[in-house]
Amino acid sequence: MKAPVDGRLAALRGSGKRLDYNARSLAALENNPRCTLRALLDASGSNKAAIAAHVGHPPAFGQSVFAITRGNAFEAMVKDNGCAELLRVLRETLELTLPEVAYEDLNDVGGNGRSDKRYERTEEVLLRAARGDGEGTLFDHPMLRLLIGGHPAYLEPDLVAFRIDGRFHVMEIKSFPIIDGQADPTQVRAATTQACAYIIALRDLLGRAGIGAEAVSDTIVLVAPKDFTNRPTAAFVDARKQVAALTRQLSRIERIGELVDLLPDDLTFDLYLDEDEQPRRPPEELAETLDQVLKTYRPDCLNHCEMAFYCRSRARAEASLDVLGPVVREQFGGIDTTTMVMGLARGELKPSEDQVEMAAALRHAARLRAELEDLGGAA
Amino acid sequence: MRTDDGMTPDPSVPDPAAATEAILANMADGGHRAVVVDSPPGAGKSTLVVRAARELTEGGERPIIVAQTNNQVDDLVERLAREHPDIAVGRLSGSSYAPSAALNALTNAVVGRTLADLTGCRIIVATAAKWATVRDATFGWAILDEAYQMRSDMLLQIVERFERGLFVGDPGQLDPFTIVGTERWIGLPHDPTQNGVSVMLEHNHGIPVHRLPVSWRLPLTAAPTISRAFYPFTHFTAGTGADTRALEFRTTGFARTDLDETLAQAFTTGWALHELRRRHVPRTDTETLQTATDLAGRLLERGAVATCERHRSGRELQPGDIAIGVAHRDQADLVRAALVRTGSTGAPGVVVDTANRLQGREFEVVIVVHPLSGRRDATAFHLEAGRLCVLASRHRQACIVVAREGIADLLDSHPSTDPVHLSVRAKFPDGWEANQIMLDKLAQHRVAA
Amino acid sequence: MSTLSALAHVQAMESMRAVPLTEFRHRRLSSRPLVIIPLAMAGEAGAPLAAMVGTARRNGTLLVVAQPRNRDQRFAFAAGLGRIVMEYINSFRQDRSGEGERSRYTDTPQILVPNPGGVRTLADLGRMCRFRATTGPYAVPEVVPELGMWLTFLVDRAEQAGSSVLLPVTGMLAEHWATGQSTLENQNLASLMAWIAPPPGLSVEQAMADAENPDVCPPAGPSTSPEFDNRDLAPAIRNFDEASALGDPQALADAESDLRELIAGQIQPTWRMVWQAISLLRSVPEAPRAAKRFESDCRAFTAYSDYQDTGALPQRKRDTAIGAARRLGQLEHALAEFEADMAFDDRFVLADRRSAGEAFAGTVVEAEPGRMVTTDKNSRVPRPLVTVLTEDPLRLAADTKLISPSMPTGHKAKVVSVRRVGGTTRVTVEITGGMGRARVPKQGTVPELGQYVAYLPDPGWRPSPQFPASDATPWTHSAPDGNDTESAVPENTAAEEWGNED
Repeated sequence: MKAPVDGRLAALRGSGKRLDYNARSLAALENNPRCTLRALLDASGSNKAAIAAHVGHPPAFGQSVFAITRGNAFEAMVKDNGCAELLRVLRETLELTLPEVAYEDLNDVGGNGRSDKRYERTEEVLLRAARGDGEGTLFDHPMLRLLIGGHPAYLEPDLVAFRIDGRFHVMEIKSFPIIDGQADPTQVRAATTQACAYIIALRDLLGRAGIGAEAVSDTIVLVAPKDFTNRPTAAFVDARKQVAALTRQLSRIERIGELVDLLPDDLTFDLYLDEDEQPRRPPEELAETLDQVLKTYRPDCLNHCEMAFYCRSRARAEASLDVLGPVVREQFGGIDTTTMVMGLARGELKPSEDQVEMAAALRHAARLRAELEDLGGAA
Repeated sequence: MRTDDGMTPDPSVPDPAAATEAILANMADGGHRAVVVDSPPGAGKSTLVVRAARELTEGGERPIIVAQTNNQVDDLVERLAREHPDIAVGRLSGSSYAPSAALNALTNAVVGRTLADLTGCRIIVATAAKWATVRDATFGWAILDEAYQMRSDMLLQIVERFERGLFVGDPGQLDPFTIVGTERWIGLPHDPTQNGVSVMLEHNHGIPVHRLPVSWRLPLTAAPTISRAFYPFTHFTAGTGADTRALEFRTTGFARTDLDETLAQAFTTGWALHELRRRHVPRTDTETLQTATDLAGRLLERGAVATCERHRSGRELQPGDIAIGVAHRDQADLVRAALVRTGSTGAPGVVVDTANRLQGREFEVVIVVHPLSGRRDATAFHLEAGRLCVLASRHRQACIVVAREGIADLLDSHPSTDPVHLSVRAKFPDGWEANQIMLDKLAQHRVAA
Repeated sequence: MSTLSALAHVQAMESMRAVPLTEFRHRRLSSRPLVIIPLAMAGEAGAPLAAMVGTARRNGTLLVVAQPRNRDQRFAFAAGLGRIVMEYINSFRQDRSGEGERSRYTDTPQILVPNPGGVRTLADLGRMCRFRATTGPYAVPEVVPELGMWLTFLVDRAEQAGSSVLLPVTGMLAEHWATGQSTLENQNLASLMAWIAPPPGLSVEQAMADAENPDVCPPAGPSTSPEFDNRDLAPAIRNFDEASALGDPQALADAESDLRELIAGQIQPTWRMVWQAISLLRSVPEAPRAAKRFESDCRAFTAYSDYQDTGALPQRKRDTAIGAARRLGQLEHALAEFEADMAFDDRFVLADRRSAGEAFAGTVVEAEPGRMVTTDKNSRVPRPLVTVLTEDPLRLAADTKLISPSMPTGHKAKVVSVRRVGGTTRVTVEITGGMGRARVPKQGTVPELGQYVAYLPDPGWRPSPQFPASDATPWTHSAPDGNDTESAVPENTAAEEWGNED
């Protein structure tokens, strides 16, 4: 990425520590690639949660201690005794032949838990394996690196397996259940998004050593509790389409410069943190800044983006049809607000040339509703 | 005349006659309960069906043919009866069916309500829905036409009528669908909402799957793009050469220059993208639908002459040679109404239908209202590869796409939110990729309105 | 969605109150529904945490699993819930009417849960319980598998459009009222209720804000809020665990009652809100054809009840090929019927289709009541023509068969021609049925000049599909090695553990 853009992004973030892309911001990217505000906040590494909270709309992405405990306990159980349970599942459930199994823990490097050190170690071990002179077939918590918009995001898959059909496979260990072969599609989708980032990062790592993309499988192995038990089972997830989609969306981030160029020169999302990391910037001023950036609110953002409550409040204030979601919005073509819809429906606003047709449909619909309400429909 | 991306048919590609022989040999050797034939658009599927039926009767069989719509049944009966005048062909149909004049004129075609009416027939043809009402009869062979459009639960209703099956169809067209939103069968090998071919292949290993390698319908201008966009793993080529097909006008145009420019682009290159001003509009947008209508009207008004291997000295295009394809039924209704309003006597004869109903049909010129035109968001429905594939692969001469500017941006910022399921193979081609390839192609043939 | 329904949402957003989408409530509401509010523990595979259950606002029973990871406690919970649910279901297995084949119970149970997540939780509970063995090493009380089978029956039946044996209250509300928020937010019962009936003294805006604040409106389940889990529930469960480790009965009783109180505080607001929603829904008149769908529920309930009486096997984990195909046919049939019935019953739903051009209404401006035609069989029959003037953007083609909710039962017609004149449309229809057998149509069966009539397409009749016998799956749908002949009851059901035991 061009240096000036980088400098501009750093200025957008300001005094706060740079945040890397993570599972949630990748999901938000996939869910709403069109949103300029989200793109700028993520690309600049701004703290979206802190910004949203400061303008009075804190996100609600708390995680229950029960879920965390359960997740950790399950992962530990699957990996116990050199992944004994995992191997049983791979052999019995997925009917894989794993000729020889060597387990390699990449959790920390000689007591050094720094991401870059762990990344170097991972790189060395995986390249050796890929070239056929390593021992490992199961790599526990390798540290991968994905360059997003020129910045490294460190990613840590639960497990990468080598030599399932001679290829690396990303394995995700999740604590949501697989009941009779099916799992909650939302949860599977989230796990897949994460795994796709690992696949892309792994291909990047190998690619820089001249090893082709085919060395990493597009098929993810999802390991999760079977039915209502505490024992694991596994299933394949064909992630070819998701890998392609995420690759496309990551490549769009490279074009962030085009968005940055449209901003006023002095615009920043800086919270002006003091020594105690407390924001000193007046919230109204920050809100004004946010309002200068185009945002594309979709109700789905509530599931993915820290800014969603803020964006929804703006959409409501503007009487934007975005509040109602795409299915309702679609009916109104190019019209953006409830004010305009109702004005045309009541015949109070004169439609522009482009709106004539929509206005006729709206007036007809309004007449129908009036007819129904007059006839004393429901309360 | 014109080539597509400089690609020409590769003579080393398997020759279609050999493919047909291999299929018939598989059927004759008695070793398989089923033989599957994947056929890209216009690759001679009906020819194969007619040929296979004949071979079966010659081997002493009394085959049945299963098609999906009454139109398809009529077409097959007509072709069978005409090409094999020595064979009595039966058409099993419901009580409200009225045979066409063409069918009535054939002396060796018999229409019956029950099998008892057709005892003298060597080949019996009916829709899957009609076969589902037949009980207690079993035939040696069934030929299932457009088999990828038949749902697995329909196959289950008719499978007891035959011992062996030749499944013929186009895997690139629209998948069958259900209005019922349920996830309970996802991942099952016998998911009843899947197409019958996939389910049969899931349960039977070693079934030979053949592929017809040459499209006789799509011109050289279209085959490579359609193949790349919608059949990424199984390429096919055009059966006709660069100089075989041509379109020209009887008259010169001057009244509607925008339409004429688009028509000229389509006539010379086989494709045109008639691009309207960028706007978000509801799918019933009059300007878009009227433009599609006007293009058809203008084409008829100016009188186009088509030259091809069937009509080497040219033939004037008739309304029925032209189709307007859309995504939604309300759009089709509105275009039909607009054609009537033109006041032209020929215009109402232009075929207007949704992608679903245009499956398996063939025209000289097809005008497509792009499913993504004017939309803010692409839904899975509008992005479905099969929908665009059907619309863009019905033509023998040229395809004109009408769309509002903005599809490129829509694709560029399309969110990826489809649900992901365990143990289900991703369906290819991917709708996004296919749309992108088509759009790249169309961009080279863009005419701004 | 039609422009009309979309407009209703915009109206709601502009006026900041819910507006009606339908004239009627299309779901039957039992005079004695059983409300269940299930709560589950985060992160566990469908582990129940608590449930509040009862047939009246005043008699809710709160069942709590003090340590959801403890297997015995989960069983005790399932058995406790099972006894209440079975007592309720059994009370409907008393009164029968009709003889022989037609004999059936006259009423059905109806379980109401707050939201779609509640239905999924009951589905999981059903799956968890129905295979449990009542003898052997992990024996459970008989009521546990019985509950499992009945819940599975209800959940399966609930997939059928128009059925009312198990419904999420949010779904019923959103079917009748349009709000100025999205479908996603409408799944939050408190948010939805904020639009329809905000608490006294609160504006819709305030009620909406409260609805998303877990400290004011605890989530309606199945998940509790993470804040509550971390701040309140986790320490309370720890206290309970410590007390049980110490074996101090008083401490244990205290810890248990603390937990109950905490959970009661989370579940009771939802309980009250569900009952408030029920009384709101009662104030909406029930659609005429809901009775027909209720009949169908009664038949299904009777059939399943009789099967239970003759020693039922639990439902399979997944449908067989033939079972799945049969079910798909039933689901599609039910959905088509339900949509047709709603449009026929309900002027709002009809208006929806009018706004989409699929139906029309207007005044008769021309009539040829005495028109006769000669049929194929050479008989003379009345075929009156009437022309209706409508402002609806109609796009039905000639020959479309029509029915009419504004004419006597059995009225049939077809479109002859549609002519657009300016902003209005003149539709000429031929009356083809419902005029009686005489040569002169019966009084009132043909629309008269000046009469207001509405027409919509006849959904027609579709044959029910016939499949091979259940034990004879054909070659196209079964593997030769017979892998899918899996028995209804899986092996080692007794050994199937419930969640984490630590």
